[in-house]
Amino acid sequence: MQKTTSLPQALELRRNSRTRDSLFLTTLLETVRNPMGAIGLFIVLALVVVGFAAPFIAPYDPVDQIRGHRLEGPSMEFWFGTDEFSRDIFSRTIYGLRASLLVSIFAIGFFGALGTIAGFMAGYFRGLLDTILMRFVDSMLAFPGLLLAIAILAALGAGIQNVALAIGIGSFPRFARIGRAQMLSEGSRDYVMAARVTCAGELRIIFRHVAINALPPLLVQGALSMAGAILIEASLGYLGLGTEPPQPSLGNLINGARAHLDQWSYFAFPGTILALFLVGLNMLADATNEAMDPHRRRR
Amino acid sequence: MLVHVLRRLLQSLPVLLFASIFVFSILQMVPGDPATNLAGPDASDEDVEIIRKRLGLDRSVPEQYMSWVGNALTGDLGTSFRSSRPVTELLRSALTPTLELTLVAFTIELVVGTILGVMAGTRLRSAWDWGLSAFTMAGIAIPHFVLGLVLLYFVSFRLGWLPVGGRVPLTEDPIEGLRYLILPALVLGVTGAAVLARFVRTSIAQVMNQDYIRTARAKGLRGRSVVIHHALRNGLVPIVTVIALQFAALLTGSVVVENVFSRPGVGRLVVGAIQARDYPVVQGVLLFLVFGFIVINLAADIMYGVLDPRIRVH
Amino acid sequence: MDIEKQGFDARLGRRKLLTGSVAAGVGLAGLALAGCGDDDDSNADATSPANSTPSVKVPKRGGTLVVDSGEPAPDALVYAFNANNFYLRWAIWDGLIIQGADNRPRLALAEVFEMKPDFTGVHIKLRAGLQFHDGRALTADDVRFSIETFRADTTTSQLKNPGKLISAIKIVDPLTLDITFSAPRPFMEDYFALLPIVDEKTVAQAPQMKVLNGAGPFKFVSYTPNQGYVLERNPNYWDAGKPYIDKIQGRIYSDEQARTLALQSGELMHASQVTPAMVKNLKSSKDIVIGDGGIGGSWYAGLVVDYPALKDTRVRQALSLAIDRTRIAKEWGEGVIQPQVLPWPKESPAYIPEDEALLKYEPDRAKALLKQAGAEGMTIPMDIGQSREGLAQFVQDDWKAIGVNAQLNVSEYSAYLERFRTRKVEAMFVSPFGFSDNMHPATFFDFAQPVRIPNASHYQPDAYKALLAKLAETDPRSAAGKELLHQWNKLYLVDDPWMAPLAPNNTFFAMRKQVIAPPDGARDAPPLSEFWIDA
Repeated sequence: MQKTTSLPQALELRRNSRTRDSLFLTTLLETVRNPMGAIGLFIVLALVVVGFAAPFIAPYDPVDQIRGHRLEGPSMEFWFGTDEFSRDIFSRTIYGLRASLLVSIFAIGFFGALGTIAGFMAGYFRGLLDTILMRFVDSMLAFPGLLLAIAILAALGAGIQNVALAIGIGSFPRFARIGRAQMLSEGSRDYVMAARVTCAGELRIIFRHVAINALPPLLVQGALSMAGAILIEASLGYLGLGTEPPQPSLGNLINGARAHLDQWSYFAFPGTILALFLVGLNMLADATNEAMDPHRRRR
Repeated sequence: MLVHVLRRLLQSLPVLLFASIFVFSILQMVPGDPATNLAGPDASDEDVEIIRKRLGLDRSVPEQYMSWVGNALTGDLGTSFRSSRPVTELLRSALTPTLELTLVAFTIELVVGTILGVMAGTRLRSAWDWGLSAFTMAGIAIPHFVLGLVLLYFVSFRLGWLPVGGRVPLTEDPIEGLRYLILPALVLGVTGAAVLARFVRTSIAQVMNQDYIRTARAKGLRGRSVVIHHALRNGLVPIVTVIALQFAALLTGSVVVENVFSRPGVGRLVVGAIQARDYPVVQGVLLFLVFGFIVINLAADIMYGVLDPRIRVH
Repeated sequence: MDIEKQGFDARLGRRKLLTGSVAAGVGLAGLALAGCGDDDDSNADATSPANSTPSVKVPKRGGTLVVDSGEPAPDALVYAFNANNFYLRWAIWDGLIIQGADNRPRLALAEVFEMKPDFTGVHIKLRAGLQFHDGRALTADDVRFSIETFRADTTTSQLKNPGKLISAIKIVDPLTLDITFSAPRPFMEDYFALLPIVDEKTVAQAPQMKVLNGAGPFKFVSYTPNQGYVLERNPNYWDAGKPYIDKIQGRIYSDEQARTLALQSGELMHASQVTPAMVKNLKSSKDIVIGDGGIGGSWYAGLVVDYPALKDTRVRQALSLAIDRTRIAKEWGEGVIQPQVLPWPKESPAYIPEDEALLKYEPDRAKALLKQAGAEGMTIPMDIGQSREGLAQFVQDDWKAIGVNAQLNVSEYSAYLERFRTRKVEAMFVSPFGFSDNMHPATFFDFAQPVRIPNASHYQPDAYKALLAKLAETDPRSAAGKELLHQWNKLYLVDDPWMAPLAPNNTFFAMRKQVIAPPDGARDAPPLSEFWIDA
């Protein structure tokens, strides 16, 4: 686990909440100052914007079958060509990006928060709750994520919400672990002890002090998990599970392209967007990681 | 030490119990019926009932679970619904190809990952470092199945250098076996190498910044010697955990890779079993994987102790 | 991934098995790509050598045939028809007769097979000196044992119902039997063509796939799950000099793309279950011959007749009229299949050419019917099993054009299968049916969902029940038979549709050029004993 703050810093934080905010900002600033972080952030932001603006950017409805234009290569009319259902691949790619984004944001955002809170609880209260939760987390971690997702999807059926749920459940234990570890390492520090002594409410302690300090490592885990979520979504698409057709996702686009490898643009464009997004997320996570580490920031 | 190992193994019992209940209940929730899968879409209700009875599915769920646990404790994981063979036998015959694949992939991962990681970690912000970043990014960002499909298409099909799919046991014909093994192992290993290289880089970079390394350098030791004798050993400690996790990730990755390259193995066995609702196989294999995961983690902890005596105390 | 597609789609794929053999025979006869007119030129090179071979070349002995048919379904190996067991079953077990390509039985283990003129029984005489692979003599007792085994209450054989129509089995001498049916059953030839003669001592072990003993052309050697199986030549095969091939190696690939690549690279020599998409990718290869096994059934959209929005016949008629089958054949079928609404192959006695015109693509009439029924703009859920979503999306788009919004609910295949089989599909579904190839129509009306009763469409009016009963007893070649078949066609295409045909379900085969499969092969089983390799 990465150490976020040194003790003197932490004591300072307790005194001055503005400094606390700025620690988070510093990390962010450091991240962006690193060229790798800047590029990563740019890629991720650009793709997020494109994904969410899909309805305004897409020249066609992603499910519209434009008869008479089946499996065409890239052209002025269809930038990425058309698929076997005569649909515009460009429109489908950006809508697919949006679907993949929604899946991962929901999965990681919701279940990440849930896992973190559960981890905080376990670390704070210890005892039986901790034991049960951690044994549960251990057994979940032991399952290969993809198999877990397959089983959950088989239970719930296809659909974008169910994919998010399947991926989210799989990412829960990682966040629970980080939350717990963070609570254990921060919880025994003087500033938290001080807060306890001054009778600040327990939940307040958790959230005002520990959570803020846990934010950077959680963000790193978040970015990595998001990349993982998008990968799992794509793999599920490859296994033929996932979003409900005719709605696109990056995974089912690539899966659909497999049977038409001779039409390179069908495979290449969604594949590149997927890879680009994953690269962006990883670069961002790397840079944040570096920015968080005071040793390396010093250089 | 022995006590420690035994205690850890004992602690893993509740995890296994949790896991088995978890798997069992998920399977109960999953729609789809093993008997219908065997009987086919046009089967009559009576025929399906006959099969349900034969498979023991007419008993209550707790009853099924208890009898399964009872047998599992004696080492009997049941009989596959689909192939009527004992699960242990299926597992054994699927395990060899998977271990073959993961071990070769693991070797690729270790060698490539460590070398690249050390190169970059000792030369932060150099061309090496950027090159590694590019490689790791590509390795992490390209999904197994995409890389696998592309390699399959070009190397096996276009160039015709290697077979499209299948397996020949290494023990039977090492050269031919390797021809079948090389692409899947590469796909699996390269991704792992990228992940590992990143961790090695960070870890080495941290160690290189430590006082004792500076001391060693100040004493006039040359770069390579410092890396090999000081940085590597200490830098590798946290990496052992990563490696343990990576080995587990390899097993997961093999699910997809075995499918892309039509290789027999645990991944294909379990995915096929999930799809066919072959409950005994799903339960048996998943439980085995969980157990394997526990053992690997334990091994990593012991390795920790070997590399860093200070940790052994607790 | 397509494990699904192969492993499970195949369960529905018995039709493929049943039709399959035609293709095996046919591919060689240069039939490559029947119904693929404009591609004749490109295929000329590939097919012409094969075309001329059967008459000129003398079969060669030896060689290993590498085949592919997906992961076998061990449990269904003897008892049920499964396309994934295609080679295994017909290599290891022979039947008394084989249905020939000309729709007439050919003799296999039987030397004499005489159906009584009134279809109430059959007289059978076995060949002398028949033996199982383990050397045990095959006699009339084994025939009786096989019949009894496949109709026992404890089995789930698809031959159970027709087997129960046998009222008496009289063993005259070790090689002769007289079999009597409970009523006139013209379709019992199909039954005997599908009945493998099994060995009493080993049949119970068949699902384990360790010991498999039959009297077929190839002996079982080994099987490794997810990897493949090995068969070797049966030197004591009844048809002297055959089989020509020494060894069959079955390889299991996990998906369609891998199989296509393996065929193209020469790793695979013969493949069954070749989809239109595979044909499209394979037909450009000069070294590959494509065989069209012809129609073995139909893809259809099932309409649950008691779902509120579908109760009105006009709505169902509209849905069927709105489907552009020409486009589906051209795009989903990659132009290698021809649009057709009747489920039968053109050479089947049940095929009535005039009835093909009963149902056409009439979107305007469909809209008008919907309007009459007051059902414009309705939304209906459509249940889809995984790997079927391609076809469903064409249908969905056609219906969108007449203002019907079909909501696709895709589920994993096993989950869909359960809902389908237990007849719990909510409103609509897309599935294929089989059994409508060269077999007797009664087999189709008795077996195939949603044609038979009960079915997933919940269609079971008394009049329909009566029609099915009459169809079971009538010879399709007779005028009365034709009239009944016409009634059935009219019922589901025009008067009261409970399923809308979408596309014929063709069976394609693909083989390397050097694999020679004689054209006079049987229709229900691949003539594996007659395959040879022109090295």
